[in-house]
Amino acid sequence: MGDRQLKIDAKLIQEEAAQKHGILLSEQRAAELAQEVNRLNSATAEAAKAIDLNDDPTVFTATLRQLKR
Amino acid sequence: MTELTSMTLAEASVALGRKEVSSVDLVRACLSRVEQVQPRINCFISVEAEEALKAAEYADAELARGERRGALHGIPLAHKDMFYRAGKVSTFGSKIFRNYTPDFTSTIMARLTEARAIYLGSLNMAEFAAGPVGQNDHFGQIRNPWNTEHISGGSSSGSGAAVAARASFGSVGSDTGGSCRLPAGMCGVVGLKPTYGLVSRFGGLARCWTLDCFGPLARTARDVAMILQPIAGYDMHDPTTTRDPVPDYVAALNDDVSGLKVAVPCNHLYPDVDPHLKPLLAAALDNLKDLGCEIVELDIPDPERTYDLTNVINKAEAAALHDEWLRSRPDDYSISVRARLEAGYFIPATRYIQAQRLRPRFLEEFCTAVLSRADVLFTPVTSILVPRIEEANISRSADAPRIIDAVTRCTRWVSYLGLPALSVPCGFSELGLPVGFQLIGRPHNEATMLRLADAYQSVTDWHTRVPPM
Repeated sequence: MGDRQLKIDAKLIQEEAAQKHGILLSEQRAAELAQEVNRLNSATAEAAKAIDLNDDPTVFTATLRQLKR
Repeated sequence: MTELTSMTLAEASVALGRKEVSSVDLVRACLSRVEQVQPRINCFISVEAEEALKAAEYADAELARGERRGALHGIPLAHKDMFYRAGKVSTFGSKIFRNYTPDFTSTIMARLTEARAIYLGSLNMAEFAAGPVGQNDHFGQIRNPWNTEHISGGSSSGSGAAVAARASFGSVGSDTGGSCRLPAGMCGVVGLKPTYGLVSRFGGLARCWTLDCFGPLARTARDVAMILQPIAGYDMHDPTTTRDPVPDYVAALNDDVSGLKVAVPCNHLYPDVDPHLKPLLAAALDNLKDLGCEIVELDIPDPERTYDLTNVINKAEAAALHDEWLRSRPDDYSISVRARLEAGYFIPATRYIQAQRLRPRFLEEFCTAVLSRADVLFTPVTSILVPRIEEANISRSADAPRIIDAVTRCTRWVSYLGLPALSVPCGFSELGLPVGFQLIGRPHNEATMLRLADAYQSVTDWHTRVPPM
């Protein structure tokens, strides 16, 4: 797999919407969502390269307090 | 507009303390102003005239006995229609919850009531606080008091419009990606997004639990400090709130600002700013320099990266929050709001958690790169001029998605970092619409931003201008 970006297509969005969430989407809307979701997922995957084993999301508010000065 | 509504909150508070006016006088003046402006800008969802007058009489009686609860005692305020009050309807600007009547009170409203602020009414807002332009298909478009053909900004749209129009001395709104700062910037008032965890979220509508901040909008930085004072600090009902003591924000306004370092980003944000805005922002920086601040140009970490991560978190949480109604009552959402929420269904949990895991790391990185070298970062509130209503309407304009995206470019990424940010008016465009700058401060250092904004407002008069209504 490596760095290969996995893309979700409109068909998958449509099927997932119907099967997992009970939502019916038009082809056009599914295509718009696929584009938006692919962009956000790619951006997150790219940013996630900076993640360290010990990065813990629950320390966020504590970090805000620590950085207070 | 009467002389009474032309006062700032701070001035009204002093006048009340000296018994030059009564709370009833102030409430009557605001109610009269609401009658004038509401047909034009649609900033209120409901007005509680009778209850407000009754509360004002009670507040006056306490004042007569020498029992003053603080600086907000007897001051009429109106708030975004999303903060619960037991037994009172909170609509969230939605059709689905048009009659929602919670049986408990939000901490924020409980604290304002304890401070004897008067609840004037509930303000119009973007449906479910999901939209930066002030469009509401259920309660009607909120309009900019400076030019009713233009948007008010959102999602605390009624807050920005009502305060600018002098219909309320201040307001509390919510900010998940710019929703206090944008309407403040577009309507020419001051709006604060506090540090995440400074103000309790208990009993307020959630838009996105891990990004939401509730904060004041008012005409001046001093007024904002006065509203922030009683609502800030630990709340046992909201475990994300800080246990640190709350500073005296109003007293801190008197500290000197000379020597404060104001950073300006030289690698991001400014290249996309509309050329008409640049001279006004430059003039504001000159004012800060004249006040003794040191202006430093800095490279900042790319806001685009955090902008996308904010969207991942926002959309995933919002889809989870609205799941039941998106499936059972999709047609009761406006098209624009449903469109904003749907993408969240298709963001994998792994991506959402990655976005959350990166927050402490990117916050530290930003503070090291920028806020260890400067006291605040100075940016525009928006990179574009206040759009017209028609061009920002997603059902009517092909350009609307681009405009809506551009509106939040300077504010949304800040929410990811949880940092405090303040929108301050700094002039008007050629069309007569407000322009603002944004100060981004160190975590839990609202006092420095408010002090700087107060000093800026002591040498400028943008905040004294009144919309021509």
